[in-house]
Amino acid sequence: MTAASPFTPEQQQIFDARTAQIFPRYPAERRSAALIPVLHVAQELHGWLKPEAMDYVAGVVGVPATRVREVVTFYSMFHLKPVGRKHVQVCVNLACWLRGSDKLVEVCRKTIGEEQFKPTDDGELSWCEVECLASCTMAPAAMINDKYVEPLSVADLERALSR
Amino acid sequence: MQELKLVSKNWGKKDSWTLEVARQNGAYRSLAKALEMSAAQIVDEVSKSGLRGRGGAGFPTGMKWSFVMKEAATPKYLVINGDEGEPGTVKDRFILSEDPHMFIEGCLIGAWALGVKAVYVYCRGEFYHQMSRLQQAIEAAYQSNLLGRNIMGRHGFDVDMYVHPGAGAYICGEETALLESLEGKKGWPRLKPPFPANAGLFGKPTAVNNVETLAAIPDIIAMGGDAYAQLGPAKNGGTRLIAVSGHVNKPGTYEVPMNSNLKEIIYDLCGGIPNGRKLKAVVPGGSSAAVLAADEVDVGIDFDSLKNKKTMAGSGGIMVMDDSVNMALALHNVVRFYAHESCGQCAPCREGTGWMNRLLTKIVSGHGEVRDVELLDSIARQGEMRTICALFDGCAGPVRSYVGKFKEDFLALVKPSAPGYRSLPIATAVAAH
Repeated sequence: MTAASPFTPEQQQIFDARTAQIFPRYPAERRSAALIPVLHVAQELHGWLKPEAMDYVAGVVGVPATRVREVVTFYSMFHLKPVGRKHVQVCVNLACWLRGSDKLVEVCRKTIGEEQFKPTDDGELSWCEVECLASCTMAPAAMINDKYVEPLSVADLERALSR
Repeated sequence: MQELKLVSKNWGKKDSWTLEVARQNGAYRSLAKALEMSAAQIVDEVSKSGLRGRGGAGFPTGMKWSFVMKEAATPKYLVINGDEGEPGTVKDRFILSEDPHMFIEGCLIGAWALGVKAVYVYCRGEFYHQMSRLQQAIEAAYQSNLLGRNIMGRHGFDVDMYVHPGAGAYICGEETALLESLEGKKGWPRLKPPFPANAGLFGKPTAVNNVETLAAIPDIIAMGGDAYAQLGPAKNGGTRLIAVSGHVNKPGTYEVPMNSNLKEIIYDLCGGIPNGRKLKAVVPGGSSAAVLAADEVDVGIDFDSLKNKKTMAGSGGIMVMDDSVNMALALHNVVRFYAHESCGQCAPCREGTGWMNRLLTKIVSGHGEVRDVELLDSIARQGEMRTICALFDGCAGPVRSYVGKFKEDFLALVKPSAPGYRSLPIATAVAAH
């Protein structure tokens, strides 16, 4: 039996519309292939994956709740706690490191906080280090929410974080 | 030296990703030609072309397709690897965003040859922009009888194409981990054999190919396999997209013939090393490739030339380091990545990458000893070729090359080991048992 919906009526409409496009992509007997795309939809609606949303998705997709937990803890894009409304992800891999990612990390530490993923008290900002974003030729690079910023200068980052 | 633009020929042109502009630039003419060829003829052209997988492994594409062709089971699938996670690699993202129709055309020619009815394009989850452009192109193709039923009026030629997102996991660029992820699971690689050509997506015969590999197909059909083969050394035909990053004056994504020279790429195409510094090291094919010292860069960029230099052409991700870099710090950066990305399934990788990462942390923070450096090499050696997939080898090969070629950088950071310490690599001791 599917768990109760974690969505407002408005969110439910969006969820239903988008999943209606997702499920037909896979053979009927392989519905569970839709799990990751559907989890993305659920996360986008709340900003993070709430436990009740994960249980709901398990029911909708037709997999055990443990499968959902297994998957969300494996993949780095799924957030199991709220992140800031503006979540800055700085690439620290080799090419970005060669072109100054340390300075960007320093700005995040000073402006947002020492702890990665921890939102500021007003819930506005959070940051984390990420691995290669495939922006190496435009290093140093980062993502702010779902947008690539490449290259990202210290000045531009400070501007993006100022309120 | 000059670029030679085949795959990238339409990048930068206004609205290049729209069907209208793509058609003006020749899109789908090769598909029309391919529809007059048999499956065997198409696979033959691809084999003659010397096209090798552009994702990293460099497996001959014609051979891979011939394996899928021989399988009796249906349905067959074409799964595209758009995970682009190998550090240093920047190319597939541009194919998808700037010329998705060239890519779709390549997939359709492959689908025609292999009898495939469904194509899944697995894109890394961060590629929102690229997936959006690709989805728009797919929809335009459906509306113009280039996807769906009876494509281009050819009765029975039915192909669907779907975009499927990843969610942040480098290991999902490994073809069997990708299939696991596509099936809705965590990305734990499968043992091979069986290979995806025999049992792949949903257990069915599957060709897994890199984005760039498919994007190269329309040009191969247009010019013929022999002409494509001429652009590179034997068995290394065509052009490839290289991404040059790090300490060069003109970093960027370039398309060059496979007979190009790495030294010319660095100094000629990319303007050499900035700030008056000297070249120290080059990673020639993504971070999984063993590093080359400055006096080793006069080498061809094709798969076989770099294999002969005990490294690899890999994904074409060329990362250049100048003499300001301490290679122990650079290796720490690389190994930390593999330790993070290890999926955890098998012990040598899970434990080995973690252990090497902790050793390097110890070394770069000033707490290391000489034997820690020897231990790094020993761990790498013990795990090589003993894991379910090549992620560990992608860590171990670099470890052995950085330690082997730049030992001074490591020794500069460590203390001598205590007197009486027996400097004997552990692997040798075990073998003597």
